Amino acid sequence: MNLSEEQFNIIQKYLRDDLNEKDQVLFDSWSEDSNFRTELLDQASILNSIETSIDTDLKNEINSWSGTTNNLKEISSETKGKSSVIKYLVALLLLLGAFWIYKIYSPVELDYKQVYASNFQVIPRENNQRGSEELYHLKYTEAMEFYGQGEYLKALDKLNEIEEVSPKIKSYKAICQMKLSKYNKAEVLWKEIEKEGDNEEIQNAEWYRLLISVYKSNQVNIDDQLEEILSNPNHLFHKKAIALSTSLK
Amino acid sequence: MNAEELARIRAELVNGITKPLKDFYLSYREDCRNVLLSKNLSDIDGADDIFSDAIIILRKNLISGKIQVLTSVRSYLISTCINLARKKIQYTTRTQNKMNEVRLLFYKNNDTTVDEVENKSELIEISKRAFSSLTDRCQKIIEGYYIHKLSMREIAENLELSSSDVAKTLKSRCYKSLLLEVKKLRSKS
Repeated sequence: MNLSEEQFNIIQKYLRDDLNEKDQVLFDSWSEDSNFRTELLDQASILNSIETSIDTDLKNEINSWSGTTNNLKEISSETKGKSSVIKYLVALLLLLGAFWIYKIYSPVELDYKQVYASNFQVIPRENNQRGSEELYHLKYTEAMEFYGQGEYLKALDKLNEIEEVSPKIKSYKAICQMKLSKYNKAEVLWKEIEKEGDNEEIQNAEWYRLLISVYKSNQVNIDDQLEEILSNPNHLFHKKAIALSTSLK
Repeated sequence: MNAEELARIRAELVNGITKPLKDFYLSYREDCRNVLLSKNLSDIDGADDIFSDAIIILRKNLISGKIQVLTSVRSYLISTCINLARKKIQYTTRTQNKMNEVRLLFYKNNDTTVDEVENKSELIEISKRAFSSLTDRCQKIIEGYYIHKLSMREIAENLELSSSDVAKTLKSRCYKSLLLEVKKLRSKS
């Protein structure tokens, strides 16, 4: 089957679907020649055989991947069958491993409380400069006295007796609640302050709410609230928030 | 999977590296099997067989560039498996289609010698041996050019040849060596 170089090239193009119109005309005319057709079929068959062979080899390789997994399973089940002692040892090792992992990871929860404790500071008590003749001032002064002495329950009682509930009073109440571990009640108060207070009071509220989230290990809230403070470089607690963020990593 | 990852995997596959396929296989075999079983499309053995074919199709489509965007390999494999199981995809290779086309040419010309060609399994064996006798690089060039229809530029890039002209020269040389080797083996058999 002696083909010209041109015929050989046309066959190459045909096999790759690269024939242009001119090539197609040539191809059609040559395809009437049995020698040409035979060579064409030969090459097409060889390429098909190669592709089939590559696919078969790959399929065998793929099946061997499956076989590996199955063999491992078989080996594992054989081992189990042979020695129950090994089975128990494996179980024991797994238990020890689980305990070890627990020991490694359990401090993470405790860390939140530690982070909270190391960041929580009470708002300093206010020294009442005003006269004490009015009932409001009397109760407030008493509350601040208790507050200053760390008597938060008594301070809270006194603050609750004051009818006028300003954001400032609420702030002290919220701190008292936090000191008494009533975090949910404190959170409600801080939220109210965020709506009613001035800029400083709002920023205080944001910081303490963040601390409550830290105490509760609520990572979603922590991320949101931290982001709120960190995004404002002029925030009263910006630096503390940076430090808190680092300690939580 | 972004375009860079696709290009990297494609280059690996063109170079005969099957690790990406193995990773896909081990990651998604269970998923595909579960889907086929839950839809009553296959039994376990059949499901594994279908999944192997899906991996082969994925390889071909990645190499040939049919797949340009692939958001989820898992979804691609699962849908291919379902289509294979429902016989929506008739898994015939490109070269098989080409061969069938050539056979038609014979019939059109009232030439029945096509039915007398050598035994298929014998031809596969001879072609396989001839192909194996080529260098690794030649094998990749022939597979890339004739089976996956890669351009000379793509072959040069993926096989790190200096230019597409070099790839073209090598391709001609390799292909002629292949045909010559087939001829030799045939004459011996």
